[in-house]
Amino acid sequence: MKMKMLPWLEFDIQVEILKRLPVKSLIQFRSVCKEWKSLIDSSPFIADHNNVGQEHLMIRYEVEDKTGSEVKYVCFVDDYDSFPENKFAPDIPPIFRLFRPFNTTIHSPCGLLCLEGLLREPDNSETHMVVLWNPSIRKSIAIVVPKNKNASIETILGFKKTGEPVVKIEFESLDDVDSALIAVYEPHLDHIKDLGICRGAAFFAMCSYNESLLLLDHDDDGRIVRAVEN
Amino acid sequence: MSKKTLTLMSKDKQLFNIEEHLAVQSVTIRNMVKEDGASSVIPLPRVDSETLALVIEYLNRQQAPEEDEDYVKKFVDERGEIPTLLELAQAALDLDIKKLMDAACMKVADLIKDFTLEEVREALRIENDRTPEEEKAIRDEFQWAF
Repeated sequence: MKMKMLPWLEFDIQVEILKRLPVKSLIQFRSVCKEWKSLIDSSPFIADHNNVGQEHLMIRYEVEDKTGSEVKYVCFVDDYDSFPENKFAPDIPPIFRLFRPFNTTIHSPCGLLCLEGLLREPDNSETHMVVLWNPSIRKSIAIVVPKNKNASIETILGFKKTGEPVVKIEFESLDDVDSALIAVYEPHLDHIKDLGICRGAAFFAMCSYNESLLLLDHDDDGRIVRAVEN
Repeated sequence: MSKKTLTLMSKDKQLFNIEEHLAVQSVTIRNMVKEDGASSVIPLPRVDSETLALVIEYLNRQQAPEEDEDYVKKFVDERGEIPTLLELAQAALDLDIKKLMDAACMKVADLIKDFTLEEVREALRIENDRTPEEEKAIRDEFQWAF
């Protein structure tokens, strides 16, 4: 068999091949060379790779017996052909032994799950936490929700354009319906930023958006002037 | 009206004829033809003759559109050797023939996905710029994957 010598292999083509590898291989291949590690760890590459990964459906359920209840997880690989036969139990982050999520799970299309719940401390006290979990690479981080007495809380997982996740933690004071506190957690900075108090507001909705140059045509009164042509 | 023919020249100066309407599946060639319609020979100084012969075989395929996906897959499957596939992928990237580039890269990815680090470096001719200690530290971050 004749072996051809390759005088070059451009980085462009290496990137095209890497984009098409499964997560397990990519994690190993971070050690191939420095250039590959920086590429695989970069936000644009991660965001790009998310579009080609297989879709999974995760279900959480609780099993009760005499000793108490246990939270379990099962994943279905939504690959069209074998769905729903192709299922597996994901590796649970160690923190989940003590962490009891609330019954709301925020799903995300970017492969991260954001769970909110209570962590039971050894002295039986409970800490309010948000866990960001990436089941594909089996990593998770837990964020302690800042204590805010007598407040209800809402957690929203959002994403920056580069693919970096942002957790928004929104408080609403029950004592004083006229004020609320919003905080933002950025995992790559590991820091909770307080966005301050919004006075005079009782109910909230939040979403993130990207800056856009898209112009919407309207007349001086703000009505749409462009008609759809057939 | 007779069909217009283009001549492509490989790195090793071999000439290949191909009908223009087939050659312009390559966006690079399409742009060259648009800019300089009169030129008779298009030089491709980075593509060797063996690879160019494969590219031309691909461009000359006579497939119904609905069978095209299967054909591309089979085409790269039959050239299952990594060095050939890499050259084909590089040529398809340079010539901007998206389907061929996709299929060739997908095939390489499929072949190397279970390789060891050393095998990957050898197959893609990448130099190891890490010490064994650095390699271990990166490995330890994701123990389960090894």
